[in-house]
Amino acid sequence: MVKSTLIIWMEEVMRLELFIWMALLVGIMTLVPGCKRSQEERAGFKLQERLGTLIVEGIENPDQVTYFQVKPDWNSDQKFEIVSEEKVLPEDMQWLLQETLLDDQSYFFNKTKMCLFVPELGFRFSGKNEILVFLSFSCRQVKFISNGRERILDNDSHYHVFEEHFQELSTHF
Amino acid sequence: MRYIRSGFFCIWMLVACTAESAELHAILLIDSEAENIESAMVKNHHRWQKQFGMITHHTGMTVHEHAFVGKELLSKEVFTFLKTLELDPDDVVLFYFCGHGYRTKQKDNQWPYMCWSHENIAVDLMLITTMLEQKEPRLLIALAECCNHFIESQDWQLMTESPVPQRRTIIKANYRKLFLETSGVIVASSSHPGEFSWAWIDRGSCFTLAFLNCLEKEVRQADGTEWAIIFEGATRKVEDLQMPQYILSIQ
Repeated sequence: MVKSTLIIWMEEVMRLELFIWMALLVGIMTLVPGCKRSQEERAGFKLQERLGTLIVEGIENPDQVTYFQVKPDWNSDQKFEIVSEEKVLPEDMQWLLQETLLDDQSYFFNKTKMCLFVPELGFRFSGKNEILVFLSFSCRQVKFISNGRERILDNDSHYHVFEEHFQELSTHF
Repeated sequence: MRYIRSGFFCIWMLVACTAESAELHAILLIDSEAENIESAMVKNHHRWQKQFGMITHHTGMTVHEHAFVGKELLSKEVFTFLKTLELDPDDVVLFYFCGHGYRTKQKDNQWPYMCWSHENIAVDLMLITTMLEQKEPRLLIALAECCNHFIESQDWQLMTESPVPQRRTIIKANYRKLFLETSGVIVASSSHPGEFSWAWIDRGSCFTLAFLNCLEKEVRQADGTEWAIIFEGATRKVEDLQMPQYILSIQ
């Protein structure tokens, strides 16, 4: 009887220890970079202010990101035309895209180029909020579109990221 | 002696009247529908209007503002106006465009195409300059504030110096020299071929701000001023961002 009580008590302690170790492990995992991407990909304050919550949340938490070729269509209301099929963006590129798009340091917020925006490559962030993101390599600008709301930002400071990692996607079609 | 004095008086009156009769035709094409820079373009317009008040005040010139803003920036309207515009030989024409711009690899002159957003058309600055030159104004100033980058393919702030109080006679003399005593053609655009032009979202375009800022500073120079100094000064103010280009064929 005493022995069985001791065993039960020991098992309880082991369970508690296991629980503590599990809790510690989860705690450490959330602090290790790369283990929980969504914490890293929070938009900067200025970007939130400029783009609004809907667009920022759509980029932060998409179900899927696809890419496609896009051309200007000046005679249509939307001013663009998607001219290729859509392909799923590989996960590592999706993370890089989110990281770059959501970083305040990528943009100028007080000045802009007087450049005719010519979309060249597009991304669709599908999910609760669908967001279109167009890159113009000739203007070094990014256009965000959601529910008829459009915003253009100049991404000169991180332009090289788009040029090095994403411009090549235009040749996939 | 009396006749000689009367003769001098008549000549002086003639010269004075000729000088005062010169008029400034300011043709402003303000593309306030240009995507992403709408409010900056409106600011440019207000800054020019303020400057016209100064020009009138100091030169006595009547300023006729012919502004085509936003939805009014239509090719039919603008070209009809340009064709029918009548000038006197002593008149000054200021042509100013602000909005989007670009160039193509095939373009054979250094000046940009100016985008008129409402109609989605692009007009060569050279075309307008040539049309206006044919009207033979005494002085033609043609400015395009737009990008000039090829389409195929430090945070810096302009200082707004508060004007140094200066004798009104100096300001008047400088304005008169620039607008009444200069003849010829000035063509300028805010960036070289292949370059972008920038606008401060809340203040207006960088080159327009720099140009008007230099103009206001230069007319206060006791030693006098000239157009070249104003363009050089404006260039220095924006050269970290863009390099304006200009040709001054004036005397």
